[in-house]
Amino acid sequence: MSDKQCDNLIDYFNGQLSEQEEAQFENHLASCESCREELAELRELTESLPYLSEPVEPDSGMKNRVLSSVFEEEEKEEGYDNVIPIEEKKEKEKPALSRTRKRNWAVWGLAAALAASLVGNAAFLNQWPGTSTTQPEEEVVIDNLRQDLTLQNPEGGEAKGQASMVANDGESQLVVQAEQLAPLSGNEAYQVWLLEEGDPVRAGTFVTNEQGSGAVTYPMDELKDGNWDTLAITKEPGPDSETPQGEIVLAAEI
Amino acid sequence: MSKPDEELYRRLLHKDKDALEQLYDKYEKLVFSFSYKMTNNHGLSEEVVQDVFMKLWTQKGTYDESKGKFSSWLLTIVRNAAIDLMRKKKDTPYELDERDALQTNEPSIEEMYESKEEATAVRQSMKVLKEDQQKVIRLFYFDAKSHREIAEQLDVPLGTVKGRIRMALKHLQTEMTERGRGGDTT
Repeated sequence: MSDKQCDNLIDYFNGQLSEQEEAQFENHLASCESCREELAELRELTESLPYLSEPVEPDSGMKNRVLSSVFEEEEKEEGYDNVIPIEEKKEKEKPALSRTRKRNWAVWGLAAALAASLVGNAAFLNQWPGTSTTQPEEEVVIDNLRQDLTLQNPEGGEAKGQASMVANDGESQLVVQAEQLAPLSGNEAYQVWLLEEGDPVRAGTFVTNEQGSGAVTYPMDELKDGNWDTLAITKEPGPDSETPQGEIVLAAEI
Repeated sequence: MSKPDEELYRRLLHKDKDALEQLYDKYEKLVFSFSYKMTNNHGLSEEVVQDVFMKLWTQKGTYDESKGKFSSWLLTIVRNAAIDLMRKKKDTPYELDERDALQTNEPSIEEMYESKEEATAVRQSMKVLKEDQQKVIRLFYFDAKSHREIAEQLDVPLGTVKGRIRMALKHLQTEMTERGRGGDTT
């Protein structure tokens, strides 16, 4: 939206932005065609560069070390397939959500891979993995999916979506993904809201790609503790609506 | 001949260990060497390799065939993983820079990689570029420096950095295209 953000392209490509700056830049990307084009061009123009690397011999036995630890990780992960309450992790988490969680942000332990892939998909602008998806595995593994909501249009229709709470070392993120949404025009944007007894609070803004898919992650720490009962997505005339102006396109009860 | 990457990747999604191993064998050398080019450190490079194959195995469904070659996607992950690790371990002492030594007249270096023609074309094209354009590419792509650092090291205004990177990369691409057309890939 601002020229200033456009100056962050190099630092974005080179993973030099803080998480927050990176999220801001990704938001910017969604609305700045020239940055999207420049980024795509950079990726294309650098495609062959890795072949400039002079061949270097790894230390012996690397294959064994790498593959066995990859497959070991898998065994560990399978443990998460069962539904495990993550109450034992509670003391490590910030109290921000504990009240709501007691209500109904039901506690599901899910495969770390699922949480990771949700976070990955959130960088939907980047069909190529952005730096945001490069968190090392040990972090990914302690992500916990705490709630998984299926979003639907209350009036019916093709559009659908999913909302998840992902907790990672005390940081809670709301991850929302939606698809088959109606195309946006001009300055329009989709806005996520959390509602407590009809009282909405903004919880992320996104625009859709050509296929009508979009996603956003929102740090829950920015929200005051609330007894959210509904999550809703509306189509707004602009990305800055303080209260919902448009119709609800997707919603779910929490 | 090994199976096409895309097929191996699809098998990966079904937790086929053999498919991962085949991809590993095919790309170990390239992934490791590229990681080393970026980190200049053996230990870190192995960590990058580990990270990358862990991601392949666990973060399923990220690669989209319609978006391009598997190898390009993989190398993007490698680069990002290397950047990430370098940031986390800023204090890791650099090894003695072996790059220059390795660079000299290694016979048929391209034989080491699967994509021989691409490797040959990009290496020959790089040599045609003037020193300062090579430096731009190195600072930007392999060292993954910040916008500001690149400007400082090149001693140019911040506002011209993007243009210089683009120009150097475009020049390289033009050279590569010409080489491709010329058919001289020796």
